[in-house]
Amino acid sequence: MVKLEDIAGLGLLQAPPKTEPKKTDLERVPSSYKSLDTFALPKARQYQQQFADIYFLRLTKIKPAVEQIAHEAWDDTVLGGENAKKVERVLDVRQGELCWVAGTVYMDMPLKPSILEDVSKDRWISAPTSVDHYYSEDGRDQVMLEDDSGRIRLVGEPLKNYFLVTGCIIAVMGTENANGEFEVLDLKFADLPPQPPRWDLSDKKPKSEDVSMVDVSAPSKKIAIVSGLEFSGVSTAYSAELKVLKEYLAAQALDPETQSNEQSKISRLIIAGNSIAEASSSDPHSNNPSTKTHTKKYGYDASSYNPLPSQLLDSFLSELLPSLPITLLPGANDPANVSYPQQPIHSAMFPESRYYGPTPAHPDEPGWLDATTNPFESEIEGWRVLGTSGQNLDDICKYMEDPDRLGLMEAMCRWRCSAPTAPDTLWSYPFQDDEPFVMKECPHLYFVGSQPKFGSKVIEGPDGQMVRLVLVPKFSETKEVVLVDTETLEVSLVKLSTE
Amino acid sequence: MPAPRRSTRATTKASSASQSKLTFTNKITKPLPSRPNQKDKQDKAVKLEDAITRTATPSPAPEPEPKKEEVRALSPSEVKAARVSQAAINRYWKGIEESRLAKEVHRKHGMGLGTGEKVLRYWDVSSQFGPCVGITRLKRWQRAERLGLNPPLEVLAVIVKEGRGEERAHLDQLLSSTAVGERE
Repeated sequence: MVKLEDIAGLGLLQAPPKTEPKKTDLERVPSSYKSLDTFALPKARQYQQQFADIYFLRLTKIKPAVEQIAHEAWDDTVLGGENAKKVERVLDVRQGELCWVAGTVYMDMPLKPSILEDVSKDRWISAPTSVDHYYSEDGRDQVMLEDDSGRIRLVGEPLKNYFLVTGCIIAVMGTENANGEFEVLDLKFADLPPQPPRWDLSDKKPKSEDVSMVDVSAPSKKIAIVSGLEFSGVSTAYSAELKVLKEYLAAQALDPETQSNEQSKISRLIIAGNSIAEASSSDPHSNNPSTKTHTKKYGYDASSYNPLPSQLLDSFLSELLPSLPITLLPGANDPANVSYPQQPIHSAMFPESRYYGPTPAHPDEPGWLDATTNPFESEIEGWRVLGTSGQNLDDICKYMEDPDRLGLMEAMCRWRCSAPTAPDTLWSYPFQDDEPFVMKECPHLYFVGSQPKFGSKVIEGPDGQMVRLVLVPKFSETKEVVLVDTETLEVSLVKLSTE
Repeated sequence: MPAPRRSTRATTKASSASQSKLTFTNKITKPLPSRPNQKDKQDKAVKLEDAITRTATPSPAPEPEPKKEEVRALSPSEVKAARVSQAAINRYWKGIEESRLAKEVHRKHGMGLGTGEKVLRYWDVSSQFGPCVGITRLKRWQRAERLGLNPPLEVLAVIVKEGRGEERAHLDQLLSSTAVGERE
């Protein structure tokens, strides 16, 4: 008879471990969370307003800050014996006079989808064509400065050093040249807005009486951010990694030591969009064109609807929810409205997980499962967090060649606007009273989901504000999860692979 | 049409005497749409004076409107604006007219308009307070005040005094006159 000790060395069987691991129940660290409804739209909303109100609101809110920075920078500039003067309106600039003015940037690009062009050519496009990029290589793009009085074209070398898209508010100093264009000598942004201190919205937790005093030496809490899960009824390329992700987040993967040290320290999961894969349109039309007309009933082809992706997402969430609070942001492919800001995914999509959502008795308190808007602002562990599912950054990247995504995220913070291209090229709700894309307060953490690659940076502001910028990669392509430490706001990347 | 026949039975004295003559002066049983403009304008003016004289601080108490108009609390600015006299509004308008360098060319077009209407139309084209299309004049004033742009109080006085809270810009009515579909 073969004894266990003989074959133990071969690695086929393993004797029970000499020391029994401690049978302690793993506990997840609590998460302090307060979700703000900055981007929530009223249920009964009107669409009869004009979009010009959005630009007016943005300019009025950011102009004072820009003008103050411009005053400080240019008030005592003397160029060629002339003092730089401030002019009130864009059309007040005079030829040959050195002056500065603040306004909104408008990029005139022929490749941008333009409704006026479509109407004038008498051609109604039923489904909007999405172009890959708006910039044109042969320099037909023009940069203009606009306010309520009019528009003026901007030219000059300094323009090339800055990222500019439609909708950002700038102040420019220069003079009007013979062609009627404004030659730019210097450019200024509003820069980062004031940053609230940590624990601004929730009651401050005094360290002395908190239970966490006991395990102050333990590794601090982490927030997991993942994006682009892309549950699909068709493709199973990454379903194994999704399983591993579920086990990792439920603290059931690997060995008990890492479970207690790392995995149970994940206090919250944020799913930043694109949880459901884009519906593939190839299947219903491939085989028999004749059968397509048979199944078409009331103008809706019932056979092409696949309920599997949302069922998979629902079961994924319901298995994690008992122990892990989840924040769910809708993305470009998710079942939510198309225009920015996207409203929360309706709880009817999650028959199993919705019991973890807000209770009818307290509809204002977020439940364990918080389906939120996109973009999304909240206070997690005291830090002000702003996050989007990627549409704003992807739209800005179409304005330039070879975009530097982290640089553009930084630019968005310095422009004080999280979606400057709305409503020009990013579909948006016509706000009339208040526009929520203007950042009134600087976040501590700004993340954007569904990006091709991971990236992270810390930027500083003139008043000592510090923002951690994070690009969250698509899980379906890179199989990576981002972990943010809640004490230091440092970022680490976890790569899951099954081999 | 065949000639109407007289029934032989109905011409007795008794039947003709029992039927009373129909009158239309007593009551109207059909429900008529209420006329909010005239009656409530006076109601509002009277109630405003009451509200002001009664309390020194601006009273946020809602006016009990008898008709179906929405009950709206008066904001402090609206209470202040109601105190602005017609003479002050006229002075304001004269100030605007005198600040213009050129003489008024198309005087005949403005003949039928009162000062209030002229003030409101000037308010519409003052673009520093935002676009005037797609929003009522009162809401535009309130939005401008909220954003700290200091809109002139005389404009609010005209709106409140003449009860034109739900009116849109004159330009808006011109632009959307050919639009198909329901407007707010």
